[in-house]
Amino acid sequence: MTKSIFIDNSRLDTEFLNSIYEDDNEHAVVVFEQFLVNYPVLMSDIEESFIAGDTELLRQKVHKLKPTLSFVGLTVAAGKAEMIEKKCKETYEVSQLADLYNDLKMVLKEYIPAVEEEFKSLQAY
Amino acid sequence: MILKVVIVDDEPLSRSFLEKYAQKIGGLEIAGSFEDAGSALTYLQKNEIDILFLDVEMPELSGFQLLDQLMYMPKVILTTSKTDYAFDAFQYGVVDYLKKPIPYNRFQESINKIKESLSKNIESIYVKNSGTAAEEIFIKADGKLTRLNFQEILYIESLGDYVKYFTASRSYTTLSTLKAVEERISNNNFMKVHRSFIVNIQKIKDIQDNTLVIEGKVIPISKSHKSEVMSRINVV
Repeated sequence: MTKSIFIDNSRLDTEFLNSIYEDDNEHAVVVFEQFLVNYPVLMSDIEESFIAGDTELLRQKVHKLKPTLSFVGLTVAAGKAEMIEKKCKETYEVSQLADLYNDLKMVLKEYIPAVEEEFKSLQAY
Repeated sequence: MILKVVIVDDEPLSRSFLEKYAQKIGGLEIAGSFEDAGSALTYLQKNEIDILFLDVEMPELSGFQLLDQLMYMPKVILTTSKTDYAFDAFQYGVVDYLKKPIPYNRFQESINKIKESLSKNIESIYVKNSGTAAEEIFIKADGKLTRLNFQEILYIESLGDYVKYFTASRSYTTLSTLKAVEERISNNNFMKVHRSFIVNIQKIKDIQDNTLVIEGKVIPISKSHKSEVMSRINVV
């Protein structure tokens, strides 16, 4: 078995990361970098649709964010995003999504530093 | 054999994974990678490819809307982060359905499946009659070669990697694609009316709006084929 390019980080799904990148450090660096650049923009779009109360737009934006979370090992956050996406199909009331949305934001706040740490480690690999 | 591939996904990181995987597996040539279905459609209308990796939910034009407008059917692999489209995927005869994020082994499995089906097709499903204009074919079904006269065939339906020939008395399923059938049935009575159907024009009973009826079976006519269908029948 080849040595993992990822650090042993309990906050990220390293098993999944190993399965998609294997030993391709170069690709991982590009993806992690793009994620860290694009994620604030995507979250800002999500916030805007949430404030506007547009559940369909919110669903579309969350749908776009979801796979990118998985690409950096944020499997837990991707699961939360999926829950929001499903709920958006059931309701037009954005207030009913508030708990799920806040939950996603909290998880991201907690886990994004781990992505940044992983990115630095990949760059130095 | 090098297979031409097109990737369509509005999410750049998803595209980057498919591009990487396609390079890694070998035997694939990335003919194009598009962030929107409209640009992909423009390309696909001018260029024939073998495999289409297609996201479903995209702004403007969805993956299924793109398929509706295609004049031919490459091997389609849907790439989506939802499982809600399984039924539609079956209806459109897609080869595989990959849930994002896609692990490399799932991608590999999917490509191997396509390569296997293509290599079987090359073994030749049909044995064309000798002579000039063939009026019959042999189809390989149920472990034997069965002779079918063109006039017996009512319509042919695509079922992903298989096609089903319908006659008045029974149907025959064989490993092939509608594209291969189109190329081999050189008979003016047959025409493609939808991505999943080739019909024997002489057997059409009714045409209403975007459907036609043959022996009680209602067959859809796609928008792109409607005018050609109307031009091929005698309307009084």
